[in-house]
Amino acid sequence: MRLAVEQGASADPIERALERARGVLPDQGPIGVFIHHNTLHAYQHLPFHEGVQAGAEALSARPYLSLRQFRDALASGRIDDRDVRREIALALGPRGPETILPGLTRAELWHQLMVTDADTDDAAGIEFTIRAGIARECANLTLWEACLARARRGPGLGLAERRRFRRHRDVLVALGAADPDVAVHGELIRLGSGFLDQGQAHAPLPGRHQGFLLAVTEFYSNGASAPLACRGAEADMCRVFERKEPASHVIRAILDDLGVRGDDLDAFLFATALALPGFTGMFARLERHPEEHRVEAPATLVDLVAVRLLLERPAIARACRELGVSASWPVLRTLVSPVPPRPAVLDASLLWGLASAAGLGAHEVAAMEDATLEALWAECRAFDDVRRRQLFQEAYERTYRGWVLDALAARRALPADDNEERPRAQFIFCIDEREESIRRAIEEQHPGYITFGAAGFFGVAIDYQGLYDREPAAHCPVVVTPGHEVHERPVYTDLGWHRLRQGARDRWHAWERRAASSSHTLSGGAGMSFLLGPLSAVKTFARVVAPRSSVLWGDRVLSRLAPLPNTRLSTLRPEDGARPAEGRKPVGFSLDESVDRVASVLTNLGLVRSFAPIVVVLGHGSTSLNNPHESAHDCGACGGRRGGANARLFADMANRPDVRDGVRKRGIDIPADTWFIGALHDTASDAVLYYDLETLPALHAAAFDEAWQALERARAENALERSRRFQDAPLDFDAAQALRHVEARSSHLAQPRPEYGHCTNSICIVGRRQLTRGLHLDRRAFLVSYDPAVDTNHTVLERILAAVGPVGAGISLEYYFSSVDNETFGCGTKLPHNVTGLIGVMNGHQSDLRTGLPLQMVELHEPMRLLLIVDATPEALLAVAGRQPEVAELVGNAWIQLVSVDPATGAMAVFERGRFEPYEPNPTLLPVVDRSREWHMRTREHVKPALVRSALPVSAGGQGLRPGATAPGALHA
Amino acid sequence: MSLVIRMALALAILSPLAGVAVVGVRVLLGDRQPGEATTARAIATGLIASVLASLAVLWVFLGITGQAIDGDIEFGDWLRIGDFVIPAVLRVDGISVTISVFASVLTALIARFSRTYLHKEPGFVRFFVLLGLFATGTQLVALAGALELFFAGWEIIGISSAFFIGFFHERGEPVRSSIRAFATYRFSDAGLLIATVVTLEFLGSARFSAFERVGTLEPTQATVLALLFLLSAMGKSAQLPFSGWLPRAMEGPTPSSALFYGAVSIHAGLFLLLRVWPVLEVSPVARAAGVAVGLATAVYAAAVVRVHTDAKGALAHATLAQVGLILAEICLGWTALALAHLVCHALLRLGQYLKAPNMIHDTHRLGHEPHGPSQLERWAPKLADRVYAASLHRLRLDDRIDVAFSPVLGVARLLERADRWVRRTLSLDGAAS
Amino acid sequence: MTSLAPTLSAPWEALVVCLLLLVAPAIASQKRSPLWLLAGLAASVAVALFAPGGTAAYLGISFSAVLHALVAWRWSRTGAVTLAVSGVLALAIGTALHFEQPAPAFALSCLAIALRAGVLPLHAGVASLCERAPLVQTQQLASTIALVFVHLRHVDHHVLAIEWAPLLVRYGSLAALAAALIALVQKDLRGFYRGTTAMHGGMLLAAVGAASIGNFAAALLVAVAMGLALGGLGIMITSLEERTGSAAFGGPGGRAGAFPRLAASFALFGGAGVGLPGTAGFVADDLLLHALWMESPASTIVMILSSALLAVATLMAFSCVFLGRTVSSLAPDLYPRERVVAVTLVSLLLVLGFAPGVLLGPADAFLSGPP
Repeated sequence: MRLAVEQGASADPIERALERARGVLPDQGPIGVFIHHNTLHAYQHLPFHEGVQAGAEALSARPYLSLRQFRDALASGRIDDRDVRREIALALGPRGPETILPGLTRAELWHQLMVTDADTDDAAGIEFTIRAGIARECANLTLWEACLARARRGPGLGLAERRRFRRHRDVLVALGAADPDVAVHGELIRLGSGFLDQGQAHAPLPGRHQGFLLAVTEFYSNGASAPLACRGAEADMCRVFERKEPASHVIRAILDDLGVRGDDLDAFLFATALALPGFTGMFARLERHPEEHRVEAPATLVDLVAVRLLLERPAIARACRELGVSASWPVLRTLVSPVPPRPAVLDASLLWGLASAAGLGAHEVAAMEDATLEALWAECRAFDDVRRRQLFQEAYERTYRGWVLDALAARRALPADDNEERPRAQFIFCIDEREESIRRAIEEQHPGYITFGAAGFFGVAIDYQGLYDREPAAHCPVVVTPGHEVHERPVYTDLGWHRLRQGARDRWHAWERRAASSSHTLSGGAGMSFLLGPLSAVKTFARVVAPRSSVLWGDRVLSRLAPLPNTRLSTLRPEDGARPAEGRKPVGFSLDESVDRVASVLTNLGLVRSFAPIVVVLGHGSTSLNNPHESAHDCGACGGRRGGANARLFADMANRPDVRDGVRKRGIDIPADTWFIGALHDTASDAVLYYDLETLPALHAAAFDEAWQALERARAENALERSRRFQDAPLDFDAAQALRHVEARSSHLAQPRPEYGHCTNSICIVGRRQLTRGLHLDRRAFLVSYDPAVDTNHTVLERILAAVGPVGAGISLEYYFSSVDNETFGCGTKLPHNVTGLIGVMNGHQSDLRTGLPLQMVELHEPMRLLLIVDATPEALLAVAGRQPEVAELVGNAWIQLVSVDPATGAMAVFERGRFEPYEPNPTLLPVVDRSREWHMRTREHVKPALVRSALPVSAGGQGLRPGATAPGALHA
Repeated sequence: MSLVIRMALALAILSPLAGVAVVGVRVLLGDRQPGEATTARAIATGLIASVLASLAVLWVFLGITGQAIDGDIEFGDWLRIGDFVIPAVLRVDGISVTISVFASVLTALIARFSRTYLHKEPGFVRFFVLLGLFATGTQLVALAGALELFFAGWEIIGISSAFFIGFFHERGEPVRSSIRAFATYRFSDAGLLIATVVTLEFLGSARFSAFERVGTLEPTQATVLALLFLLSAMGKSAQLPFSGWLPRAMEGPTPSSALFYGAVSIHAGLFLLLRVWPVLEVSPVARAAGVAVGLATAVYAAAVVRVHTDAKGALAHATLAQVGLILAEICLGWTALALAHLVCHALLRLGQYLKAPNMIHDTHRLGHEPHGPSQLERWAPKLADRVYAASLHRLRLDDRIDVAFSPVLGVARLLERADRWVRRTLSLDGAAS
Repeated sequence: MTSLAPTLSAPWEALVVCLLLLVAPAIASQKRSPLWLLAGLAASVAVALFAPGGTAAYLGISFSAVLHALVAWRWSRTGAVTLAVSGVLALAIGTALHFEQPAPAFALSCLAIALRAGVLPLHAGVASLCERAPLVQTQQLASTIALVFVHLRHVDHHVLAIEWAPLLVRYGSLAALAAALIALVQKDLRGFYRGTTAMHGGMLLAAVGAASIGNFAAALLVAVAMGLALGGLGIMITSLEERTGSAAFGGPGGRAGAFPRLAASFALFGGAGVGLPGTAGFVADDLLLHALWMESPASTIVMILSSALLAVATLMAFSCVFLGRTVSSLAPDLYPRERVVAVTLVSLLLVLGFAPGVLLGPADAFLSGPP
């Protein structure tokens, strides 16, 4: 699929064009499970900038932030001007110092074009502001007069035409006709969602098992009428249905009829397929992944395009008739009037800016030769908008990279940790950057609290079926297919209660479901109004006015009346257990498999000795209401699901004596007085749910108590750190208030931002925690535990990079695209979203399916490529990347920024232009604070790295706070 | 007591407007746009004052302390020229108090919801200003004692509704939808406006209390009057053939959809009919027409719900089905039932609208409700397919209206050409324009 | 002369409205209007309003028309000539009144009003003003109010007025309908403004017709509401076009983001023009409809329909210019002086909407009395 773009796989021009479109169309499945992926995955074989620009061109999207946004970043110090100049110098090489105007080198010209507002196209605005005396040109009006006069004489800048005419519709709209797409899309959206519907409507499109083209043509044969603008489509539809014409035949006939032939065909079809990208992309996706579509409705892209053209042809014919023009493409496309010439005022304004920068006077401008001016304009044209933004993007990343690498270098300069005491408690979190803050909050409490980061499925790829799940679902990265099933089962003593409860629960749900569905019918609606109207009003009132308390009380009552039965996971499968039935996966892991999983995770983490008495393994998930994108907040490493079951399973395995024996044989000695506990961290409400506590041996009660208290304090502190980013939470919160605030967010019906998700992601650090412990990374870093000392032959590194590289790049690039052009790559604001067919969201009553991330999830994001910093030598990285094609592609084409930190010397090298360039860190003094809240609670913005003294190990200057000493007191202050 | 109720009535109507005025003056004169907190506080204060005032009216109406008050409350004349009077009169009775309390409470609730929901939205101030305007409009409609005041409220509801539909104006579809809804409103409002003038001519006064004299009218006069009211109610409550705008109204933010098309605004037409019930009562023709329209709409909407794939559109039509039923109930004369049905139904839909984005979550939790083939599909599959087609394209109501309206546009274009010719011929300014 | 208070207050109030409209463009615009012009206009309007006799009043009107024509000449010859013609007409009416010939005076006065208000098809001049010099158009609306006032006071009490009333009402409402239809299919903001003005002209003519049977207040209020709403609209359009160049409907739109206050003011003036409740436009429409109904129910319905069409046209114009993908602009939103003008005119519209009796009570008493 990925390579199809360049290969041009098929000889058939129609198939070729559609294949090309498939690469660009949004590749997002039904929204119930949201997987982060590179939005422009199909362009990943190109270098980043080329790929981004080509993809944006195909979709008419913005490849980077706008110049205005970049300039704001420059003004606020987010971009360092030296980095801008550096990027210009790198891009220009020896051509930089050449003179373009007297007193203005090319490098200086480029800099001017980047940093000043010289490129406006608002001629009326310039004239107005000059009349009003508020324009920058008013600083030197004589020069302005001269520039205006000079610009009027020509030659003009003359930018290339940006309008593109690839379809009839483009020309018709430019000629002033009503947009035929409005009617065509309206019809296509209704038909398409009726066809794809996964259970929202009572009745789906009849005959949809035949495929889209036949179902739709049958629909029209049954007497449906086409929309007014497409009148006349009915006859064609009937004919196609009667003769059962294949879709490609239909397309070819219509293209012929519209006069689209030869070279135009490719562009026309490509643009046609991209005109309604969301629905078209869903059809293309379901064609490739039929397993994601549970209903019998085979979706194919070619069918959709055929139906589309069947509707579009009469619409075009009608519009052409109204305008009195020919519908034949070769004739039609010559009819567009040329763009009006660019007003001289705009040229003059640009000239003014450049002349001022060059220090030219009014009559030097007046006397400027045509050739000089033309050369200047040529330079401006060549360094166009996209090029400027490309350099800005590089500078944007370079400035940030400098801050991070300098901070890492400064941290490394502190004395190493030589503490040999046994840790008091260990916590294994997901590598997710949202867990960076809670890890820091734990470490701030005591130097003996150690945290680790591992991909949140904890090495156990499973199809998991919870107690009340209808079917198992994969809890592992999307690229992995689980080989095992794991079920949650009630314990024997609770079996009776479980049956009772389940029966009642099923009946209740059936009733609720039926009530919801029948309230839409005529009689049911009337009945339900009288029956439930007042009750529902009370409930709505409570949920809106007191979201947190009402949910809390509901849960409390429910757990009192009908508590959940105790459960266990079906972790173990006897070695010689009966073979699973045909086509079923084995349930549970055998002893060997368990030993494998546990040993490999511990090795990956570098956790092979000094085990604490308590090791808490925390998966994560996110709870929110009224949020179709809820799954996008869950654990990416668990395939967009919650990681609790995996953590629980891992702890369960690691606690088994026989597994520990096996692990010991592989050189990892887990002491008998170490106990693993699985837990789930809710990243929205900051709640922590522990599993299987009833099996905790009494011996460990005190140790667990301490760990539990540490986590309690840490989650409150985490809530506080998170709430500073929410503008509706005051900055002078204390931690307990913050915790209540985030709990309310997660249970609020009206909350479009239950959490900010991966909004702050930008770095991924693979290495020992010693390199980063005590650094305030502002929830921006994926932290992957990796100990190069344990990994002599780089197999662990390879495993980690193969998993983390693509996942991290997927998240960071999805956020990148959704934030640089939220309307095209993202799905716009959430507020008018309307769930359709249970497969996605539209805006309002009928719009294209919206894919990507909503504005509310990316509004804080700084779009940058992932900065992957690895605790390994450049040689090791090159060797490993060479073996992993996907990593090699990402790094080689610069879709991620790779930095090597030598484990022994700490020397840094950045992978740029195909090789590792050494990076010389600026010796900076990092700000030092006692506790991280002192650093982040002063602002709502991103904060730069800082040192948090209490989180540092004692040897590195940490304070070594004891639990119950200053830390908890400060927490509740 | 009379002072109390006069204060309360005035407050119920004017306090949201005062909030709007505070924000509006700051928008127009201030150097910066007012912030979220300021805006929400100003409007919320107005809305809460309105809730309290309407509760006070309820209190007095029920006669909990002192004498119960029922009937017209005079506020002098809005305008008096000679013997022509536009009275400023409000009416306190069971229907008006119910609707006033109901609408003010729901609006305040939605304001609370939207405070969170619209946080950081660029249109925050606009949303709350419109919400305040809408509250004034509904209170005016609920409490008006004469058709002129009622019409003022009615128009305000229509205009705020149009702006809410077009709230996300950066895309084309909301704007198109808002214009369509507004055009439908204005067209059907013409019915109410004519009815107002006619009432004044026939009965000498446009007060609702004047309808007690409706027996003095000729049957044709009463029928014309009743049909005009019915026309207006049909437009506002999206009855056939005006139903096309209702699904389009889902373009706005969720809370406004809930408030307008789930709870309050969609029922305004029904309220109008309850209000002018005496006229309807004496006109069997209009009542029969109303029953027919109501039932037809109910059946139509119920059929559309069956095929609707999006959460909000399905809800809109489910709502419409009940509104059609209530219309039929009113026209059959079961006004008390209709009022109860109206209120209960609005309360049910409000919650459902607010939870519409939770659809996927709920499906995960509850599973799918299996839908077997219907009776129709079993016995007459061909017919069922036709019904499906008609429901999916919603009878092409919008297209039919466009077709009906196209001659008008044709005339307009002709006139425009003539106008250009006239101006060019008479122009002394050279070849321009 | 029934009592002193109303005789004093009605012209005073009309004068306040007229003066506000006269100075509003001068304050809002970047270009300074010469003081002599404003003073001359104010004086002539004051003379027209306060003059006890018809001749003097029409002389005042004539003088103001000539002043407008002088200003307008630079931009629009058609407009200037139309204004001059109306000035000559006013002179003729004054003469006729002097010689106590009320019938020709009434006929000519109706013609003058039609010319000044731009009733189809006599709208070429006003349309040209709308197109080329909206600020002059705003100012001439002020003296049109005075003209209507003078008409109602001095020539509308003639028997001919009652005879002509049905004709004027029917003609006015048809002209309004045609203009509303024209406004509906315009392709730029100026065209919309032209159409709106012509529609209001039709309304005004119908109102003047209906006035003769005792609805003086309705006609005056229609004139005042028209002046304020259209004047405000004209100023807002000028302000917008100064910032963005001409505003064609097929263009980018999306101006609400850059100019939120301008958009809000435009919406308010546009709304007032089509009877937004709470503004003078609402009361004016209501009064007018009642007045028309007495004369011709069919015309009333036509008028209601044209008002509905104009409302749709207004929303369409608003959405074409202000709504859509946000377009940023270098130019700032309304300046304080423009905002003051907008707020003043809007407040006046609101005051007259909430308490129309302030103007209409005295005016009715004053105008229904003998001249």
